[in-house]
Amino acid sequence: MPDKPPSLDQFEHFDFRELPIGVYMTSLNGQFIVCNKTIRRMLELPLEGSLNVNINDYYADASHRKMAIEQALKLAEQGRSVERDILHLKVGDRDIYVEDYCQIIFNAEGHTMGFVGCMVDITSDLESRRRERELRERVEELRFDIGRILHANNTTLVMMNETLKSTARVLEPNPFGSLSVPLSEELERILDENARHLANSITRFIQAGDDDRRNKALSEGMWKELTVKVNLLEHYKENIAVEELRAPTLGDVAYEIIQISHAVASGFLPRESIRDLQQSAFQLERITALYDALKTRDAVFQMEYTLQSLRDYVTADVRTTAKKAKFTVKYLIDQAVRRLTGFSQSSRVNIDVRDVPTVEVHVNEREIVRALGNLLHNAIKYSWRRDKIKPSWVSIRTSIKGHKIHIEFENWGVGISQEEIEQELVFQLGYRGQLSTERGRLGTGIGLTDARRVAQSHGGDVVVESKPTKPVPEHDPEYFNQPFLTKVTLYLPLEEKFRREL
Amino acid sequence: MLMKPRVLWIEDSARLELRNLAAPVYSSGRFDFNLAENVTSAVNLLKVTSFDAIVVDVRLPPGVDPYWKKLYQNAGADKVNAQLGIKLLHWLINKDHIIHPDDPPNGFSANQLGVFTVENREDIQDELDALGISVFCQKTTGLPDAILIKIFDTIIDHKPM
Repeated sequence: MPDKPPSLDQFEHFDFRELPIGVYMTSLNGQFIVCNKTIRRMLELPLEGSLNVNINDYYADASHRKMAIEQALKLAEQGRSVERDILHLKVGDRDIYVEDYCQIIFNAEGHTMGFVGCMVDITSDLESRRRERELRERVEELRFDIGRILHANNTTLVMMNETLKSTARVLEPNPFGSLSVPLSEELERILDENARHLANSITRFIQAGDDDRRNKALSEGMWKELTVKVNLLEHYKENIAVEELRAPTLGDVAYEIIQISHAVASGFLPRESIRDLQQSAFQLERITALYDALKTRDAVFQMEYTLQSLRDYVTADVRTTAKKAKFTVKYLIDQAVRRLTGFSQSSRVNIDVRDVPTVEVHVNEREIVRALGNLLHNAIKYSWRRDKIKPSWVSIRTSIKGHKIHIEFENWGVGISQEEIEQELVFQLGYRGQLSTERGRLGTGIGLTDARRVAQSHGGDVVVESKPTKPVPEHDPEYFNQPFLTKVTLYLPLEEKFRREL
Repeated sequence: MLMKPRVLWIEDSARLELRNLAAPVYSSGRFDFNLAENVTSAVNLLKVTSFDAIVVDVRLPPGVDPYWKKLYQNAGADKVNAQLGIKLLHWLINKDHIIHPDDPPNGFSANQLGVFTVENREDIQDELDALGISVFCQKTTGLPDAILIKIFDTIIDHKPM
């Protein structure tokens, strides 16, 4: 490295032609007197030798040249020079945009003689800025459209929910007692009873007449089909390994029996046995259809909240947001719980809110309720039942630590791996936990991301803990099949007054 | 007594959203029906059991196997981007060790396989051609109840859809 700085003499003899910025001098009518290599490259001129070129020939719009001169003269009168004037030039078929810094040259009498200045090619910058602007406009349009579509979908879900509720009523009497999805033992008991009932009815039907009458009443294939169905109904649990597929399969079997019963030729078999067969089949079909409606309604609740949150998230910036105000933590938690009541009831998950201190936070209500709702929604969605008698539950606990209120959502169920927590994958937009789709759970992977963003914008944060409940090593395939105790905490700074009191 | 054809559906939404599509397969009593809900479970089943027909979804979760998990995470932990169903098929048919270092179970041919997915056929046609799979069905709301039976029958009878 040379230890001496460049001398003034070197500056005096500096060859401006090699400067990486375009340097030029033109006459008043725009004829180039001189320009360096950068300008020559810009205008695709020979790099060496004299020039017989006029800048006017490069203006995309000739009238702009006149305007540029007028502006330069006006600025010169004020003792200023042109700075960062953007010129649109045309080189061959190519459009280029240059930033021009220019000063007028006067003679001894004060008459204008020409111009001296610098040019920087900003075509690519301008192009990327234009693309960015277009992209931003498209994103805005899309956000608006997505918001509208999600709003319409939400309305459709409300309609679906109402229709499913009416369907469930039509299918009464309801052996499950409510419109909640029944617990699996309850469902199993009712399916067992009704499958057995139908199997017995089919058996009675098969034995109801002699061979001759039977053959006249139904084809041989249908009698065979009925025998197959008896076997399926009597051993449905062994035949249908996947628990969730038992109810729909039994419903399908019942439907087929009804179709067969409609095909019975009249006058050959006792009416009572046909009626008995039909009633048992109707009963099983009705119960499985009711269960189907309740399951779908539960999925609608899940989807409704997910879509609503997604819509709020997507449109958060374009919506005029309310200003921050003081709210008690209890009020905010109650609002979030209220939003999730339908879903928690449908999923049979109790929400246990414990001892909320009477403290306030200074927040945007809508944002915080949404963030708390996201965490509660996840806790409900990923809960398992701990025992056969009690339904599942989610605990909401609060505590004050270092001038901050901590709101904890704890559930027992689907776990989150340490890797996903440590690498903060769970906070990535659109990321869905490795086990989150287990048992058909719906979601978008936005809830935690959104909750954290909201908490951080209020000076708080969200933290996640998930611990296995059994001592199974992590490489064991059973590791993630066990229940995990998962705690997600959102914390926020307390309102000024409460901070001072602490 | 004739053995029932043994069939496998590799589909992670079979228990909830698509539960009514599986029901006719069971109730028909014609198939020995099996379900795998992620790639690892499917591979474990395929290692120990042979199937007459296998229907695969494109957007599958990886399960616990670290290599399938890595492929999934490399695609941003996104089922849509990862397309593990397609990768599984490449591994099974073309024995592509870049996808998974283990040897795939032997004896698979494209005519035992079908694809049942939400993707448009045009979007994955190149992949299907490369795999030699001709049985394809798109999941839409207008499907008949017995669609899964139809797909299995098409594969078993080697007929076009």
